This record gives sequence, C-alpha cells and structure tokens, in this order.
Amino acid sequence: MPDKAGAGPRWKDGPCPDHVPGALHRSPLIEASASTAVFNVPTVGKFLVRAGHPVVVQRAAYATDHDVDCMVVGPVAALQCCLEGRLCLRGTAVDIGGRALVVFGGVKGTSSLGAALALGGGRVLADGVVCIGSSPLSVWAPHGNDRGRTTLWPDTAKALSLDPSRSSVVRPVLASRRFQVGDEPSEAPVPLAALVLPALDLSLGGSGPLVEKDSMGPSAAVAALRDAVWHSPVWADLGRQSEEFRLLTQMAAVVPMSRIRRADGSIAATLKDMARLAEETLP
Amino acid sequence: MIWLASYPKSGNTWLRSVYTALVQGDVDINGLVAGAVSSARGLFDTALGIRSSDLSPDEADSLRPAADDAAAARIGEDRWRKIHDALFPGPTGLPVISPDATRIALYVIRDPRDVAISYAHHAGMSHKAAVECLATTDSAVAGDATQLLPQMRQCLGTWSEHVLSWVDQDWFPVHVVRYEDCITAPVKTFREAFVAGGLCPSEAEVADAVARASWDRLKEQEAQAGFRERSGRDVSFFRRGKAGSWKEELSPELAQRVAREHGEVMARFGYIP
Repeated sequence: MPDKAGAGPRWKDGPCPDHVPGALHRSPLIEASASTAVFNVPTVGKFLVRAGHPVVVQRAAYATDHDVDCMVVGPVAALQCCLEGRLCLRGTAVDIGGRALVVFGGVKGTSSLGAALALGGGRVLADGVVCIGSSPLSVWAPHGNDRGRTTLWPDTAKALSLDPSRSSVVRPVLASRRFQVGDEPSEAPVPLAALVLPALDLSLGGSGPLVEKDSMGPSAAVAALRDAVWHSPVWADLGRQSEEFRLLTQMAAVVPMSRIRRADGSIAATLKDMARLAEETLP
Repeated sequence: MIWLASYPKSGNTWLRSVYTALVQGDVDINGLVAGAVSSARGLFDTALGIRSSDLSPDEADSLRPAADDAAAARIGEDRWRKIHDALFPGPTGLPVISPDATRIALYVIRDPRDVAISYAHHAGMSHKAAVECLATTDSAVAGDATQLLPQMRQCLGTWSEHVLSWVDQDWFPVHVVRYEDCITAPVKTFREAFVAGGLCPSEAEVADAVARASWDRLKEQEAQAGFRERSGRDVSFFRRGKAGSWKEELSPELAQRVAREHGEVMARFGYIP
C-alpha cells in the first residue's frame, strides 16, 4: 500500500556519501544495501535514498530543481519503493471507471497511450513509475509523482492537440513537457484490471491495418512484465527475486493482458485506435 | 562485447545475418543474433536503472560505456552487438562504448558511392541529400530532439571521419571487413571475420551459413514478414545488395563529389586508385 509516512517534501539538499557501506548491489549509477541506496547521475547529482525518508540530494554544479525533480519522481522514486519492498513497473497507469489499466514496457509510447486514454475520460494515476500492490492487486503512484500529469514529447502533444503553453518543464535540456491530462485522481490505490504492452511492428501498415491487438499467454506475459520492472537487478541482488516473480506470475495469471502493435509512422494516425483497443482489454 | 560496426547501409545486417546462420543454423531476419544495437534505449535503461528519455543526448553518450560495463558484468560472456556510432572521444575521453568491455570490433566498410545510394533509399531522401550527409560532420541517426525515438542519438560524423574513428583508434583491436570482398569471396571474408571474433568455423560451415543468409532469402523473408529494422521511409530494407550500383544510379557529378570529399580514405581502402 502507499506509504503515508512518506508524505511531505520529497527531497532536500544535503551531503550524500559516495558509497553505501555493506552494499549488496553495485552498478555504475547505483549502490544499494537492504535499507539504503545511493543513485549517482554525474550531471544532476548524488541521491541518498532510504526507506520512509525524504531523498537527500547533493546536486551537481548547474543542476536545476527541475533536473533534480525529474530524477526524484522517476528512477529515485522507483529505487525507494524497491528498498521498501514495493515493486514498480515502467509505464503509465490510468484509472478508467475505478479500474486501473496499466500501459507498461518498452521505452516509447506508454505515456502517449496513457494520455490518449485520459483524454477519453480516464485519470492518470501514475506516469513513469507505477507501484503494484499484491493483495489485492492494485496500482498507485509513488510519493511525489504528479498524479494527473504525463510527460509527452512535442510530436505526441501535437497529435493529441494539447496546448504546449499549458505544460511545465521536465528538464531545461529536454524538449519533453509535463501536461495535465484529464482530472486528477485520488491518492487511493485502484484495483488493477488490465495490462497493455504497446509495440512497434514494421510489418503493419501499407494497405493493411495500422494497429492490431493480441492477447498474451502467461509465460509471455511474465517475461514482458519482468522486462518492465524498475531496478530488477537491484531486486535480485537484495535477494527479493522470488518476491518479484511471485507478484509477476500473480499478475499474469489473473489480469487480462494484451499487446497492441502499431505501424511505424504518424502517431496521430494510431493513438486513437490504440486507446480503443487498450480499453477493450478491460474485462 | 564484439562490436559489428559500420556506417549505416554498409553491410552490417548482412554480416549479422550470416553470423546468425552460423551460430543458429538458420536465419530469421527479425530475430538476428547481435540484433541489440548499441544505441537501444531498453538495454541502456535496464542496465543503469534510469530512463534515457530523461537525459540529453550528450548525457546519454557519456553514460553509454557504463551501460556496456554493467551489461557485460551481468552477461559474463562475449556478446556480438551492432553499432553505427562513430567512435569519437566524448567529454570524459571515452567513446560511446566501453573499451574495457570490448574484445574486438569487426568494422564493415563499403564504397561510399554505394553507401550514398543505399542510404538515400533507406532514409527516403535524394541522392544529393545522402551525399551531403556523408560529408557532414554533424550527421547523426535518431538525432531529432523533438521526439522520443526507440534508439538514442548516434553521431556519425562524415563517412571518412566514421571510418577513421574506428580503424585508427587504439582502444581495442579492429578487423576490417570490405563489403565488396563479402560479395567476391564470401566464405573467405566472412570466415576471417568470425575467426577474428573468436570463433573457429570450418569453410564448409561458413559456406552453409552464407547460403542460408543469401540476399535472395533475406529479401524473400522481408517480403513475407517485414523487417523490424526498416526505417519506415523505405520500400524495402534489402534492395540490390550489389557492389558498384553507383555506376548506374549515381550521377557523375555526385560520384565525383564523393571521390573528392573522401578520396584519401577511399584510396586507402582500394575504392579509387
């Protein structure tokens, strides 16, 4: 369930160690023990991450609040959830009539499909980092995530007819912007009702359809979900692999899941159809 | 890592197809071994626990060697991977791949006049525009910062800069594969490349792999099932697969321009006297 104790400022400036004593996981940007992690993006800063505490940031020269925020609501939030034993997927979650549809995986198309679903009447629960709870299966945003907002690139925002002047900066160095799309949802977890994996398929198009939907079997579903888990190597090194596997198999067993393939080319031509097919995945 | 490197449209996919036929017994063009391009966002994001879309192209470039190191540590064995970036040193002095995680690069080179024809077809641009790309230091693949593309930006430099960045670097060994030799002496040329990459196939095994990855078979597969590495702006990825098409397709003025702009490197690799 969401950690209410974590409410409050999501980060503060302060000194951050270079290393984590007794680290069980070491990768180029992350060191983590069971309770503490350091996340280091040289051009933005070092982030001291602990379960249930605000993140401490020792920022790099010239790093702006936007630069820090971007990391805090994304990979750092997911890392904090990981330390707290809560699994997060890369993707976007939308509340549709009290049921959560999670668009996950890949690196392109989840936020834009989430925004299209929100424009059709849904509410964006989480964008980028989607927390999954197990009993019952439910979805919420990590602390600090801007509910109701999605990060979109100019081409997608244009395809969705969103007004760039009503958006906010993600990072000064990026062209992507954060848009309020649809109404803001409540903080409460929403039952997980469907999973959708968008994918590019260059064999589509031409005289044929631009978008197609396939249902996914349990083993393909678990593999696809595993690829979308935030910080999966950290989970493994902290000895939580079986926990992760149990939750993924539970999701694959009971939640309808589809893969929506789209042709390359204009996003505008496919987003509406993708949103329709995504909604059809809901039971 | 063993990098299969080239300027785009120089025969990289053919080399990967023959390699796939060799190690897997047959080829599915949509399941090529070494299909994970160095610039793929998914691998980078997973290896580093970050989103490449949250980084500027320069920031991502500076972290790509770390992603290679992390992936190599996790995999624990040699992987063959494709790359189109030039090997320019970045702000830290390192290129976009990790020298520590690299055993060797197999660099495929092709006559730039044929590259220009094929690149124009692939990118849906005129021959003149393609020739200009080959001569532009700022040329890049996936360089449009106004949209999120599946691959991160790949700086190419000019065709000559690209070639020299790979063949004259001293971070790790490089074995040069001439596309034209793959056509005239395929078994010998591919076998030498595979041996350089640490394999020891017999001539018969390579001959079988070359036959299974013949141009006609690759074209046929693309016609039947599509090819996920197509640009979307071309009619088909596998086109003619010949050497010297430029003589029929490129105007004499453009051919002369390519020879003038890249003459030194072309002469070094036997493309002009």
